[in-house]
Amino acid sequence: MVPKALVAASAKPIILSLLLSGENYGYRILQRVRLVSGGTLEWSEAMLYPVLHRLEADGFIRSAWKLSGEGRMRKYYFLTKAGEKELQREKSHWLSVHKALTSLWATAEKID
Amino acid sequence: MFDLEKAIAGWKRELKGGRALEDGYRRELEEHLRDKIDDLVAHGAGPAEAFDEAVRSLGGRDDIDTEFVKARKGKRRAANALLGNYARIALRKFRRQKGFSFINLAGLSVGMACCILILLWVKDETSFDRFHKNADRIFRVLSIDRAGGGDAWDTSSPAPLGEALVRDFPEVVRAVRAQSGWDGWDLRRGPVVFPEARLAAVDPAFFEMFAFPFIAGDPRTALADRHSVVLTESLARKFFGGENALGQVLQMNRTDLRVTGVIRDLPRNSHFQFEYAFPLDNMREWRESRLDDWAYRQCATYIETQPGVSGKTLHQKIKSLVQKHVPASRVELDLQPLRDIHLRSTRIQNFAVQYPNPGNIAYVFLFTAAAVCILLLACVNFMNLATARYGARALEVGVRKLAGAGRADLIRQFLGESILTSFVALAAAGLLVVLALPAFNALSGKSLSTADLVRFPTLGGFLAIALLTGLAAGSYPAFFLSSFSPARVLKGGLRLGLRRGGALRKILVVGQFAFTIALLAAALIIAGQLRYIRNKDLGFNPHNVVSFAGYGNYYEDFPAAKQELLKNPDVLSVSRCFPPGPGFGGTTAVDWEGKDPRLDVAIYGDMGDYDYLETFGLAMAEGRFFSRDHPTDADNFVLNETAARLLGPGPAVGKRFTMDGRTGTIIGVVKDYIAGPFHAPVQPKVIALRGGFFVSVKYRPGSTAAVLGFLEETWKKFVPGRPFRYDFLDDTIEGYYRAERQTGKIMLAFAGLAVFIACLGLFGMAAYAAEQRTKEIGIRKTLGAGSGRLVGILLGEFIRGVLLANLIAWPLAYAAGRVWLRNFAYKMTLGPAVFLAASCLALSVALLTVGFLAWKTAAADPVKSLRYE
Repeated sequence: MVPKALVAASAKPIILSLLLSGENYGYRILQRVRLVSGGTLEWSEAMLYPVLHRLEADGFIRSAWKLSGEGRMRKYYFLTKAGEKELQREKSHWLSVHKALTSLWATAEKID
Repeated sequence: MFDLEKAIAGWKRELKGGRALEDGYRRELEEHLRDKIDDLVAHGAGPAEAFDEAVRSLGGRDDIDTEFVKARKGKRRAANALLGNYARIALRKFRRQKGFSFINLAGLSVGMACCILILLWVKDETSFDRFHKNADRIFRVLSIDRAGGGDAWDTSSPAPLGEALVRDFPEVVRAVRAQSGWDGWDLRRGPVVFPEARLAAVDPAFFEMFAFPFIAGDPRTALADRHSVVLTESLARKFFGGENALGQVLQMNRTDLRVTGVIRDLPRNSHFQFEYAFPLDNMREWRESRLDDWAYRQCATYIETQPGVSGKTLHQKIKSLVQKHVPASRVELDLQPLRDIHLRSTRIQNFAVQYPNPGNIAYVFLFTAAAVCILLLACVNFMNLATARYGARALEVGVRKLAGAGRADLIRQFLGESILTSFVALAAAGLLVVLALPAFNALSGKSLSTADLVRFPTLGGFLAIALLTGLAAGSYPAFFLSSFSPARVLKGGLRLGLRRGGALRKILVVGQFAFTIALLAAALIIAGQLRYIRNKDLGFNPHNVVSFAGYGNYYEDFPAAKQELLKNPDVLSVSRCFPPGPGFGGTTAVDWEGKDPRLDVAIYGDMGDYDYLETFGLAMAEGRFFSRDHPTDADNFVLNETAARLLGPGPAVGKRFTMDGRTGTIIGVVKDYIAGPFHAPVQPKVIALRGGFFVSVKYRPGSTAAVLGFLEETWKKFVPGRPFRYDFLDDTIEGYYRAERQTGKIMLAFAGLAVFIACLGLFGMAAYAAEQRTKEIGIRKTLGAGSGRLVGILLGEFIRGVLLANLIAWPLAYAAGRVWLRNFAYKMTLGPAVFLAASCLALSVALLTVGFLAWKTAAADPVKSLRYE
């Protein structure tokens, strides 16, 4: 299981990345996260909505109530232009972390 | 049986109590819950089981709520919420402490209004002659006549100088000569004449050097023809109404002048002031001007230099140029930058006489300093009152800190409050300035308009002042209050903080009063010197004397005209003369019996006739005045005492005396008379029996209106077709001190305002102190202290402050007064009276302010004051 701090930190890029492929609503987002992480990322359900609202307040995503295929009203979220830019920034941050760690571990393995 | 809908409804009701959970959020959560339940049911769970599981994984109300609150703690929102809170608190304080807030605002806005007015004045004073295109490369050539060991600075220079400078010095691009500002020269269109219009007799290149904008005509060629004239817009309108002025013909001294240009009216901030300009060459004919004579100094010369030429270097080169042409001359040349003319010409002797509206750089500095000080005063007041009053807000600070406010939050809050107040004060100050502007214009002789206020750089400046004031005024309370430790505040251990603030406040109050007293003393010194000037025995009587130019019959047959005037019983005496004045253009061509040939002196001539003595109320010191009984008097001289002293020991009367080639006997010595400005000492003067262009009439006191009416009637008979224009000698003399009187008035007004601001501050402080000591007073009273004694206790601190302030103020005011009085050759003695008066004034106003309050506090019923805690 991924620890809480990392879950919180990665919530934003993950949500933005998910919405990059199209609009979606809360429950589906949770399911998708669980799916792509192979169950290692366990998001508490109470955490998701506040984060969504926070991202909306910051202008990275927008929301709209829509009738879904099953005839239920659902609140859909989609990415804004600012959100796409924010995602680019997040991506470069995470990639640099990733790069640093990979190269460190590569050296560590050689020494081992 | 489990009812899913009922269970969900119950769950929703429970969510309602949350702080952050709005309807939309709850709806969204409900949809989530339903999705989850559907999912679980689809995987084979029973409805009740699914509901329980879904609710559990979503978390309880408090969990959800906390997450939402956490997410909402975005900075922007928090700041906005706090800002609203600060504003609310500020407003609340304002409403609850009306009196205090009023004092605070009034002081600050009056201070700002003063500052704004002064800065507008300063801006106007420093804007003179700066609008010309090459203003930084234009200089006026001054001449300093060292003859007689003196240094008579003069704005005019030898007539052929400009031409020589252009010819011999590659640094000089062009030169023009100008005589300007004289009125009474009659440019006319048939019978239509405007004698108040002022002339400029200038060289043709004048409008190329000075960029006065042309509405019609070409500045390069306008004055090329000798018989041309350029009019200002308003004079053109007066002459021609709506007609096109260009090409029209006007007359001057029977010569036709063609209008070749119309310029915009000259701006107020130009040292040139005229309504029409014509080529100087005409003056050869009209004034017999010797424009090729190096000894002829009647026009100012302006030169324009090549870019990059230093005025100082050029000055060294041309300094002694006059001697090349007139070896005996003692005239030295100096260069004065165009932009300095308005403010830095005070040492030029004929300046105050020739230029109606001289400025003085010293006053610009003085007033700027005063503006800054008054603003500082207001700020200090604001800080003082705020820190005193904020003491009562220590509790608020404590509570805010306990609730998690950081020091930065508090600093932001208090600075915000003070900046808000200062902007409100700025708005009030703007209103005050608009209201006070007419009075200020009357006081300062300016015509500033409200339009000057809203011009962008000015407005920006004011906003900056308000911001700075708010920051300066709020910074002390902000940093001081935010440093309170909450534990100590809440325990009641606040006294430490307050006592520290108390010392600073005392220093501020003392400083404030020192400044106020110094300003008052300065205003009193100026008033004193002006009173001294007014009351000083001038050695002659300038009152009830009216003078006018002797045209027409006055010129052609003066004795007959004089007889006509004397028929009026109110007319006491009539003299054809040059009225006593500051006397310029002295001559060194003097000689007398026993003169040391090495002695180099300049003596100034006054022209008069037999009735000169009586008309101007001069007094004889020795000998007699000119008399019709002595036919040879036409060649004789009367000296003043200063001139007589120059002649050396022994009686002057009876000595032979030569002046400008005429030799006669000295028949008398008149007592010195001060006819020029008090700035220069009395010059050695010689009166010759040579008449003059003016007619001066001495009349019976109290008959001014009747005599003026009579003179005007007579004028119409004697000088038909020319309007009657006259001057009162005492007005002319008063005019020499216009600048001083204005400064005095402005100074007094601002000193008054400074006193007002200081007193507002004092009142606020006293009110605060009285409130703080209510309990102490109550206890003292129950123990038997009388009201009088208590008033003494309450006042003591302030009185001590004001007294201490004197020690700082006196030396300051004394030094400033000494410097200022150095401008005068005749000056009041700077005794202690002025300083004592200023101190008494400040002290009594302070006493009045605080006294009432102290009395009220001391007289209060102790039962009430002790019960309140």
